[in-house]
Amino acid sequence: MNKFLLNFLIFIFIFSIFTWFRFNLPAKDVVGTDFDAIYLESKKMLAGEHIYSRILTGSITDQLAGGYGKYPVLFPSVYYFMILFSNFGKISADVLLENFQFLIYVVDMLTAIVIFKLLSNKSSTSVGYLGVCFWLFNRWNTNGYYGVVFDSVSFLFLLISAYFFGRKNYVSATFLALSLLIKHFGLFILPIYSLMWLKENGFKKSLIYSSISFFPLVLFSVPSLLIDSKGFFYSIMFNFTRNPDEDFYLPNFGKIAYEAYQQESLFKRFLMLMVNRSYFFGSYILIVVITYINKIKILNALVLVFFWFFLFNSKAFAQYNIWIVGSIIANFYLLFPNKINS
Amino acid sequence: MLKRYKNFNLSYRQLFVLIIPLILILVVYVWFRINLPEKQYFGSDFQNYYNESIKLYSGDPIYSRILSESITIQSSDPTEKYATAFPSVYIIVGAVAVYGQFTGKAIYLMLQNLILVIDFLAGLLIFFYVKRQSNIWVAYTALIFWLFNRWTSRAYVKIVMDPIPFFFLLCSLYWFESKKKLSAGFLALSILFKHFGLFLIPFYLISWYKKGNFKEMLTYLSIVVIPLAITSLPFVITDVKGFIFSVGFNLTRQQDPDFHMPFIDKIYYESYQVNSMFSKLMIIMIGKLYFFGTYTLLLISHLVSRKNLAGVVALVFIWFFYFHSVYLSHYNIWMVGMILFNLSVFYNFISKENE
Repeated sequence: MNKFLLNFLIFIFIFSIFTWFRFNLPAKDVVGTDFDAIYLESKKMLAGEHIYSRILTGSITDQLAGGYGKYPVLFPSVYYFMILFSNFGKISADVLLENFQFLIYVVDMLTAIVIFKLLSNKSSTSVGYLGVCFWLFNRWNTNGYYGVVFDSVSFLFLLISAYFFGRKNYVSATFLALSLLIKHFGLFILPIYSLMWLKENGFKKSLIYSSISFFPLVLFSVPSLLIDSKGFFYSIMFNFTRNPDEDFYLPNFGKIAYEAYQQESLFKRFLMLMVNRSYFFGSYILIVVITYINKIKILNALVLVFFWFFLFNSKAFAQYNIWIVGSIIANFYLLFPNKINS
Repeated sequence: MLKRYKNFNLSYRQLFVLIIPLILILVVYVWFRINLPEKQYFGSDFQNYYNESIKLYSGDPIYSRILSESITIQSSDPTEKYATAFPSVYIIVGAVAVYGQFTGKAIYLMLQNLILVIDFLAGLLIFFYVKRQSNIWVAYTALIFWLFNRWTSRAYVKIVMDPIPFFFLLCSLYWFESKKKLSAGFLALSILFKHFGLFLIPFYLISWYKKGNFKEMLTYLSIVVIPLAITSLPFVITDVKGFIFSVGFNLTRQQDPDFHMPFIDKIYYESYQVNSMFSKLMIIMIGKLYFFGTYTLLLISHLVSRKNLAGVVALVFIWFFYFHSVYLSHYNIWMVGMILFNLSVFYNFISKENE
């Protein structure tokens, strides 16, 4: 049988099971979800409210639980997209949630195809199918669908970006930009992209590619920066200043955090909390340097960066696992080095 | 002295490059660990181990409690938790407590120091393994990431036992190619402390069979299984049912709130409706088909392809992280450690076993 036809039939079979699996998960209530928080902030933004200013009168370490009390911590592009869908489509939060859930279902299948393509090119089709099954049915990805988090959409763009890296750099940079617009995780990989572009294509082209990746994010952020740069900065940085998980331990962490609370100046407080982060940023610099001097592929760099994040970030949310899970699967071929050896 | 360095095949410069940073890392590591917040003994998982060990030495059937209670939910009170580890753990902890006349808290503090040392030794194994496969800078990165990451620090503060069996597993993998019997012995030790290694036995069997013959495979298997069988035998004889349900509790327990599967709630609900414990188990195992199905997939992939064992062990822990319905923070030690052990593959260095 034709190889393409066989793969096509196998994919139809896997996707059928996947569809059954996803559509039989328990129903999700929109109230209190992260999605709800994004929806509400986008409504406020449309009504002319400065959504990023709220943090200046609140705490930079704690936020209220649930959809209503949370700070807007994403880049403005996410809220603009939400306005676009909800307001102009005249769609309620409940219906929008279902639509996005369906979008994530489709995105996950597309990601599975990209993973298969990557793995079957570099290893074998059986490793490709193993990767597909591990991606589609793992608990973290399922939870991402159930909780309607956008991480898988952003991850797909990042994966496509890595796929085209080195061959079609303009396409790669554009997909990286798309990934960044939805979730800022890609910012951690951007320095590695830029360094590799610099090494392979020279300063000028590297600058162009990096600008393509970063410019849309800046463009969308300009209005918020102009209106309230301070609030914007602290809101986006909230993930770095917020209180750590209860089971995250560091020497003197509590002491520094306590001293930070004593400071009246917000900036001083911020700087003290950043001292607590030197451990996080220090290990990041290590991984960037080691990755750069060892000339590794961008696909391999993805897993290293997200793995570093998993090891050193003081917050471990379930949706973060989508990034580590996905990047590990995309690198499965390294653990099945059949073709490499031959 | 000079001869010894020659034996290690290192010049003075190389030795300097290797030893000085290692000493520096050790100093920072000890400072880092000792300055972590102090953990309360009361309420810890270790308290449960200690209590069960004392009960065991006073003749209580520790594995029987589950038979009169639920196989899906246990009390959150550490004094009420089930004994889910293999008997070897309770035998060792009990022996130290009873014959050494130590209190639970004293053993707890001793164990914390042991974990401090064991983690560094595990770090050295990771360092030398990665260095052998790639270069020294990747090896230092792996070592630093191992010693200072949030999950190993957490295990030290909370005194979870996982670093100990994980270290034995690393030893087993480190010497898998060169000293097979020693490697099997270390795997046995790992399983005696934590049953994660049970998931690895089929993969080891396939690798032993591929690299040797059936007889050799049986020899290595017996090295792994006999210590476990000997320590478990009295409990199997006295209360086989309680033993199986207690040790297997991690497979039957209620899933995390953020673990979603079609009909999982229905399956658990159905299991509550039946009276027979065996029927209950069978129904719950249907919910685990997904877990075992993906495991089988991994097993088949190992059977048909050519991989180094360390890589496949990393895959097993990745699989566990992806598909197990209960996710406890100390499980991360296994996955994190194995990825670091295999860090060289991400730097495009291929394992020597595959060359």
